[in-house]
Amino acid sequence: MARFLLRRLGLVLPALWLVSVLIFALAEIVPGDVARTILGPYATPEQAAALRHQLGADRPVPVRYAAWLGSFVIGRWGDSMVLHRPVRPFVLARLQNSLALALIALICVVPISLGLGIVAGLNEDRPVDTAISLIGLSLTAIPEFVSGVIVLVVFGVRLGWFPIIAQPPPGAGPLERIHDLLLPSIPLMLVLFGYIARMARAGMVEVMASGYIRTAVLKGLPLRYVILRHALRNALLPTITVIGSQVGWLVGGLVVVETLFTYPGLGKLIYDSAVGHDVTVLEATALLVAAIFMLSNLAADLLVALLNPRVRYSD
Amino acid sequence: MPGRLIRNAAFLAGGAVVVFWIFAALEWKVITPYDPFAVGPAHPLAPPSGAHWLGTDDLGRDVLSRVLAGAAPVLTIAPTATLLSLLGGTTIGLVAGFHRGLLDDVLMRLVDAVMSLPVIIPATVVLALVGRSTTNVILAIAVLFSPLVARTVRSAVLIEREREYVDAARLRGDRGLFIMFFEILPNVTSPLIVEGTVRLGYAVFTAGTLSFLQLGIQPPSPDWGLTVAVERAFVQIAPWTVLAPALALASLIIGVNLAADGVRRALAE
Amino acid sequence: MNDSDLQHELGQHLREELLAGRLSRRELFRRATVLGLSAGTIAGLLAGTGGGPARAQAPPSKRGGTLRVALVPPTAAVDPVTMYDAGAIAMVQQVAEYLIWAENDLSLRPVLAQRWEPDASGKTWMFTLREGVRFQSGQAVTADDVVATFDRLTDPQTKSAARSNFKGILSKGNIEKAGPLKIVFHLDRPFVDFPYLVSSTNYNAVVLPASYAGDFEQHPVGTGPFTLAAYAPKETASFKRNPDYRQPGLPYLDGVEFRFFAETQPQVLALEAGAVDLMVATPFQGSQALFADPNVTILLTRSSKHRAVHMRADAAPFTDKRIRQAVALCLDRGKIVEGLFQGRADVGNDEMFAPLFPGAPAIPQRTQNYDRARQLLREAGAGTELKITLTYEVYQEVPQYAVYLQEMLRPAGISVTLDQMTQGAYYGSGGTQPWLQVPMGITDWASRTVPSQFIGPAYTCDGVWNSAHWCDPEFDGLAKQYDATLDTGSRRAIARKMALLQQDATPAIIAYWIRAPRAVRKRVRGVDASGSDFLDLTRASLA
Repeated sequence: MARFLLRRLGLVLPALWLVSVLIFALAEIVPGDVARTILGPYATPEQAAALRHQLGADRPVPVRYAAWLGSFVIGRWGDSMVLHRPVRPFVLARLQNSLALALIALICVVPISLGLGIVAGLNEDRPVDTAISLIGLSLTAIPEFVSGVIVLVVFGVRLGWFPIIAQPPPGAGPLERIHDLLLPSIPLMLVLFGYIARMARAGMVEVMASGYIRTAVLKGLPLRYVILRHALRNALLPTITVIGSQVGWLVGGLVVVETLFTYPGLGKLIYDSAVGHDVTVLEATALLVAAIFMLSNLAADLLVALLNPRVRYSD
Repeated sequence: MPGRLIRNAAFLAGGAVVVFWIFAALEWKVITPYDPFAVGPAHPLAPPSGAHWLGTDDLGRDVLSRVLAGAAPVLTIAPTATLLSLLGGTTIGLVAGFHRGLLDDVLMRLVDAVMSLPVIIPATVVLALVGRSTTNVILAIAVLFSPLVARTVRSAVLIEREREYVDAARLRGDRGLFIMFFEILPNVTSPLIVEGTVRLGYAVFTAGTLSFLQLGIQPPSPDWGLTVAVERAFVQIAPWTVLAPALALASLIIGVNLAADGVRRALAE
Repeated sequence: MNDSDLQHELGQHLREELLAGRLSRRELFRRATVLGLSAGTIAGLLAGTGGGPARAQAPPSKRGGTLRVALVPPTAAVDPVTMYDAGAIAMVQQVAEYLIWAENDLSLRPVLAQRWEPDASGKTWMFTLREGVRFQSGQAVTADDVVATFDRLTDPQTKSAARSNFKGILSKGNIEKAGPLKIVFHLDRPFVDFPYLVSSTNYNAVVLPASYAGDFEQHPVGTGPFTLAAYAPKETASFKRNPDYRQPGLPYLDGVEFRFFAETQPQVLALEAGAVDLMVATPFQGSQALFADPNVTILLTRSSKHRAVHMRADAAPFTDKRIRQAVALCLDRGKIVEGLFQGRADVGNDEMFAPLFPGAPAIPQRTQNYDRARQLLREAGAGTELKITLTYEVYQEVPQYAVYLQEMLRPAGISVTLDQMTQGAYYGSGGTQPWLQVPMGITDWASRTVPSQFIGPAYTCDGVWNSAHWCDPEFDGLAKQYDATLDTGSRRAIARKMALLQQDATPAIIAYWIRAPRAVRKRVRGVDASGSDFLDLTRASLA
């Protein structure tokens, strides 16, 4: 187990390095350049070229990459070329916001969707199952930007129960934070619900169909005990994998939700810096999200191994 | 007995819905009450009425006609992209989950690296390398979704490979590839189908969102994903413009799911 | 303050024109302000010519309160010299001021300049600064600061886009300090509308201290009614009342809170919910809910904002002007205005003299005429099926306009393929700038105060933003003449010739001039709409 862990962690670094190279190379292909972002479309090509030269953005890609990598690995994340501010505090603040939102969404949705998914799996093909499955399916047909707007209009504007702008005032207590962040987390919850519930259900159905349960019951164990200790564990496995893979999206992929709810998170920052060619910011944010993504996948894999004694990680 | 009836009814209902949308995709020119592309500047965002059963959109076009005609691009892009991503993802997941060890780790880290890139980057790369077209929307979506499928499949494979039948197959002398595709794969279909139906819905909206990154589907296509992405700005005063394509998509997904369930059950019996 | 002899002479000439019915009161007023005539003189010129109702006395405004404003964020670090986007401009305009402010009716109001006058050739302009104005840092505003400001903007090394506005008109080093509060501008060529170039129209031209070092965010210094108290990029900006503002008693507000939103929709929702009080720019498409909201007032004003649908005169298939005319004849402009703005736009006539510009010549309005269009296409040998690609950016109502164009060109046998791009891709960079290269494209043009500011860059042979690559030496000559003619009557005749020429050549379709809406909650007072989406909160108050 320890060797497995070490090897996985050891591979994270090269993977992150690969991500940094890919980002740099691919950002070249996105149309536009940083000088235009700063000066706008009406500056003359000469003015744009002069600024590009001033910023060092006209050096060859490998040179720029090496320069960036050199300072990044020693902890100097540099300044945003576009905003003239140090990258690190800016990005970390956004990270904090994204993590808060992801946490609230997960805390609310996982118990509900897991529970309902298990209930559906236990009652396969009965009306309860049909109802839960259909609702889950329908919710996957509604993208988060649609449910987001509906939620905003109904609960924010018409009813006024929640603030339109998801920004808790500084010094707000945890309950107030949850209240202010509830609106943007609802569309996320709706998206995840269908996915998680269906996965849990499928896992339950699989396990129930196998002879495992029957054998255990024949051995004399009470049904409820069997279900809770064994079936549940196996139903959780694909669910955990799903959640692990969604964390990356929850933290770094919520461009539209962040736009709609005016939430200063990482998703919008990544998008803006990619489009604006603000490479120092883009690299820092993308690497952060990649690291979180890989670590959450690792955690999910570990949990799966812990829960399923059959899944052992050979050395 | 009642379970059986419900199952049959569900399968029939699902199948009917899917057939309806296929019919709409093929014959929209005949069945739409208005030309889905004809603009009506005199009455944009009109609520449902006798003249327009589902109202009009921001350009005064009949929503019902556009939803019907939208089945065509949707059924071209989404299922193809989903199938491709299932193919690609399953292969990677099978290989990684079965072989384990270094191959697994390296493969999955590569998958992780691609997955963690912000969506705009791979999308724009596909565009730059191969130009803008429907084919490339499909490719881009397949590339974006394969990693997720791979993860799910791999996770299921990890469990399956420990089962006795795999050991039995090994003892019989079956080769790795054979075991992967003929022994393990059939047993991971359950999560795979869930993944597939979820991805299907997502494919439609990803296609619509990608259009804002200048990839693929161009206006004035009545594609449901594109429609929702555009009409979202008007949901407050004209919710029908968004609800109609969203409900159409929901019905399609549910229909596909019910029909697929029925087929799977029939095969199992 | 006395006007010069020349100014008196010009003023009298204007009055003659007015009395002869060749000039409207509004035009006289505008022209007089541009020429730098004092208020007293202008009143005299207008005397006895039948005025409109006197301006209603506004009720006394309540002091205090913080106004919450919704707008898009600045795209980059805020620097008055290089800013080009609405967010940065709005921020800078709370803190800094111009020599002159251009009103919505295009008349000019003295701000930091107290008065100005041209010489007879229109090539030399003398400006006198207001006395006793201080920057927020405490130092006094002197001619040195103004000279430095304009030297900065005309410097060949500057990154400011404003340099293009001065190209061929004002060069660095030709701004002379003629006294502690007097400046003389020596122009390269006669330009009778020069005061516009040093006004708010040229939005980079805020007056900054001579020592300004490009660090506005760290040291936001200006003469404006508010000071920048805090700024969190992409999130919020807070402004506090400037207690030493040059106009005693103003501003009424204690402070202003900017809240940045990336899109229109969340701004609309925030205004409806009362989370903000004012939305700086309210494009009709997407804000329809506000136009029917009882708690919201919509301020509206004419502007010269438009969308130019250019057709490259040097590329197939538009080399033959008959084809360009045919395309223009397919449009039902009234329907387009109805569909896109519910009527809140003025119909355009494929020339640059917008209805907003006083002295706009009245030439026959182009209307939809399919028969004529088909005939022209036949004559030009285009056959019955012409295929073209229309490239455009996703910006406000432009995508919808593109679809309307596509549909309206169909009955003439022209099939249009739409090529939609993000704004960034459409403007591009380096060697790829679609807006200047595609055969047919839709480009958004923000307000300008004089037609020359459109014509120069976009429709002259040397124009840097001439998307249509149209070159007509006769038109160029007329344009130069127009800029150099002081006499209003002659100017109008030249304008008429230019308009007819351009309409006939149709390098671009100008189908509408947008009226700029601005949505505010009912409790907001003292704010006007702005043709350029500028935000002047000097007299704003909350009821």
